[in-house]
Amino acid sequence: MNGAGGGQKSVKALAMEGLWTNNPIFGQVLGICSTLAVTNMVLNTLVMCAALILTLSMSSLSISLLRSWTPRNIRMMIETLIIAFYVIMVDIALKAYWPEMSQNLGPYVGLIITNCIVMGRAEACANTQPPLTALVDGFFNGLGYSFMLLLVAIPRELLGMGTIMGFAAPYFSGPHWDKWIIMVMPPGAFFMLALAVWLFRSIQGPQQKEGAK
Amino acid sequence: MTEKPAIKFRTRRSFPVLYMFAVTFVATGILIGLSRSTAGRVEANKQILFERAVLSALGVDAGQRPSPANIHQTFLAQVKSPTESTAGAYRLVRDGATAAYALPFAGRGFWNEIRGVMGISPDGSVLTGVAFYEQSETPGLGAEIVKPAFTEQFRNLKLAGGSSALGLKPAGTKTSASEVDAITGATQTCTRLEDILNDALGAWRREMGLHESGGAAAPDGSGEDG
Repeated sequence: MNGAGGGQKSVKALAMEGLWTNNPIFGQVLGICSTLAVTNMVLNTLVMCAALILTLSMSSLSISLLRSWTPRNIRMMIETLIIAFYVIMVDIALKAYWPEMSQNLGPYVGLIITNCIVMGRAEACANTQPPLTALVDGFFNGLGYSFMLLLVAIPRELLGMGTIMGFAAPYFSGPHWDKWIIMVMPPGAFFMLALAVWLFRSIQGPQQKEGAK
Repeated sequence: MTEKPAIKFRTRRSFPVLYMFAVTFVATGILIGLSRSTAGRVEANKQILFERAVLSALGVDAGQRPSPANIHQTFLAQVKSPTESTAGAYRLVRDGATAAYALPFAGRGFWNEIRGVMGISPDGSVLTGVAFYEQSETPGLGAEIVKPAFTEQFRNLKLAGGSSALGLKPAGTKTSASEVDAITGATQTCTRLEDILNDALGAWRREMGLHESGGAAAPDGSGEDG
């Protein structure tokens, strides 16, 4: 898998960028809306992350495959169309085979279409890079998004409801823990996200400038 | 469609239009096919969700972790469809007599429609249960209405007479047997749900001529016989 189809960047470099130096959430600050919306229960978050990783990888791959054919002036229409294509596929699959989850996520799966990360990677990478590089880049950006989402979701569900993935957690589900309802409510997402971004940017510190370029 | 990579063709002004058309055609074609092929399944899922809600509201046991087929069989065997004499309610039939009614209800929740079913005793004075089959309330807050911790409170709940048959009160503040605990942090969902349930119950009882019946509280609402 090394070399990523003759691309300029190795898989390792792409992974490093997607997960760390150029992480979609705390590096590029994209896709914040869904980070805030679906992170109050870990299971919902996991499914959302899986859907995003799939959409992002596949749409990056497809956009890259078509890149030499796509006229510059209509490229964004084509990108949106391809993204929507994969998102609707995920939505149909959930409706047919996992109706409960489809209900839980409500409109958010459909809203992946407007998730800035997908369009951002299409414009920044898939448009100009060979297919395998685009696929790997999309995959790791999806992973980078996912681990941040989980980092926000786990404390929210634990502190707010005393459970993890719906299972009661010791101590937090007991009578000694007064559940922080606000963690499940929208403000909790802002607090957790801000803390996480602050933490990671502090650790990143001096690398920041390199990563942003 | 795009066999010959002739440069001339790709620089023509009509090329972007044709290209967009071709890509759209392929993508939507696949999606329509996929959606058609799963339409039956999606419809069946919805039907099973509804039947499960009816059985749950009526307190009918379809077995431990029932399969969709089990639910459907039990539903067909025990529940009769609404007729004119039931004012839109399904009937649970035991030994030839009506054991309970299952009344579907719907109304606007905080984000979207809440749809569910409530089971009512034949004389309209006791709920056998409440179950939901469609809602998009906030996960973790309003959506907790579907959890057993909330719905089990409605099992064998005595109803008051009049237009407010039951009440959802903040945890720890209920004063009569016809009230249950609301969900903390989901006040909007709960007040709306309270209205939805009371409106549906009131309308149904009027239509069935069960207007006066009240199980728990006296009409002045001060009954405390729980």
